[in-house]
Amino acid sequence: MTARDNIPPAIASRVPFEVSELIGSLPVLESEEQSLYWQMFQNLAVPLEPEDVHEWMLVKTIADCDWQAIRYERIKSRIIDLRFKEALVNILRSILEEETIKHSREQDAQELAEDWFTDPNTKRAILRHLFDYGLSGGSIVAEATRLSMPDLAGLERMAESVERRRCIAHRELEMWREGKRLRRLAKGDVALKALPLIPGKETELSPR
Amino acid sequence: MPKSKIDVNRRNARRSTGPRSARGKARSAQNARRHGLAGANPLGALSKEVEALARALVGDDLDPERLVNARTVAQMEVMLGRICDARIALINRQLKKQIGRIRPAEDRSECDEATAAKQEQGALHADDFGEAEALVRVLPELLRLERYEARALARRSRALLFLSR
Repeated sequence: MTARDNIPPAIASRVPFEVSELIGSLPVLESEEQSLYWQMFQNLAVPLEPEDVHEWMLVKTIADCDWQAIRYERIKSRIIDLRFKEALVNILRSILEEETIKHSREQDAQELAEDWFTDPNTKRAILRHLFDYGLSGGSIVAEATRLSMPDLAGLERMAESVERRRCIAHRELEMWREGKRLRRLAKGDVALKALPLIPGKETELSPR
Repeated sequence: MPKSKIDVNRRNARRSTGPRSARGKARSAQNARRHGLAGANPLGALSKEVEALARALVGDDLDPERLVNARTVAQMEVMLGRICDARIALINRQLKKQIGRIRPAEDRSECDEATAAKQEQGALHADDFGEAEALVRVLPELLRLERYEARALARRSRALLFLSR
C-alpha cells in the first residue's frame, strides 16, 4: 500500500504525485478519525485551489496546522478535567473537620474523592460541606485549573506555534502566487491591465 | 540482588566485547538514536524523494540557483513530514501505554462492579481522557521537537522567498 492509497479518490486525482508521497505523513492520532482529516483537507483545498506542487504542499501545511489546533483546543478542557480528582482531594484535605476524620486527613480526603464519582449521596454531602466554607463545584474546577497550569502553558506554546506556522503558510502561499504571476508576466503569458487613461479605452502594457 | 550474583554479572560483562557481526554493529550504532532529526544528514536515505520534489518545484526552469533553493524547500518539506511522524509516534506510543494501564471501555465486562461504575461515571479516564493524559506525559518531548520544526520552517521560508522572485 502506498501513501497515495490513503488519499480519498476525490482528492487523489488532483494531488500531484510528489505531494501525495509527502501526504503519507498525516498528523492523525490513532484515537482520531482519518476521514475527518480528509474532509477538512478537502474543505480547505476547494477554496484555495492549489495549482502546483508547492501550493499543494502549503495547503497540506495549513490543513495539518488546523488539525493540530483543533486537537489542542479539545485537549485543553480535558486536561483540567484530568486534575479534577486531585483538586477535590486538595480541597477536602484542607476543610475536613478534625472530629470527623476516621483514618487520616489524607486517606479520608482520598476516599471521599473516590466516592464523589460513585455515590451521589457522598457527592451531595461534599457539596454541602464545601458550601459551609463558602466554596462550590466551581472551586474544584478552579483548583483543577491551577494544578494544570504548567501543562496548559506547554499546550498553549504548542498551539501558538501551530498558529504561527499556519499564518506563515498562508503568507507563503500568497507570496508564491504573486511571484508566479510576476514570472508569467515577465514571460508575456499574462497581460498587465493598466487603468484606462481615457475612460472606456483600456491600455494593455507589454511586460518589461 | 546477592553480591555473588552481582560479581558473576560483572565478570561476564567484562568478557563481553560488544557486537561482532556487521549487522550487530550497525544495529548498536543506532542505540542512542531517538528521532534522527538532529544528525548531520538526517535525510540521507531520502535524497531521491527530495530530488524528485525539487525537480517538480522548479519544473522546466534549469537555473542552478533556483534548483539549489528548490532542493532546500524539498528537504525541509520532507524534514517537516518526519517531525510530524515523530510527534504522532510519540503520542501514539503513550496512548498505547495508557490503554494497557487503564482498562478500555469494552473490557468492562471483566471488571468488578465498583471499577465498572467508576468508569461509567468518568472517574477512570479510559477512552475520553486517554488522549489528554498521553499528550501531557509527552509534552516536554513534543516541545523539544518544536525546535527542529521552527528551524526547518525558517529554512524553507528563506528558500521559498528566493524561489518566489
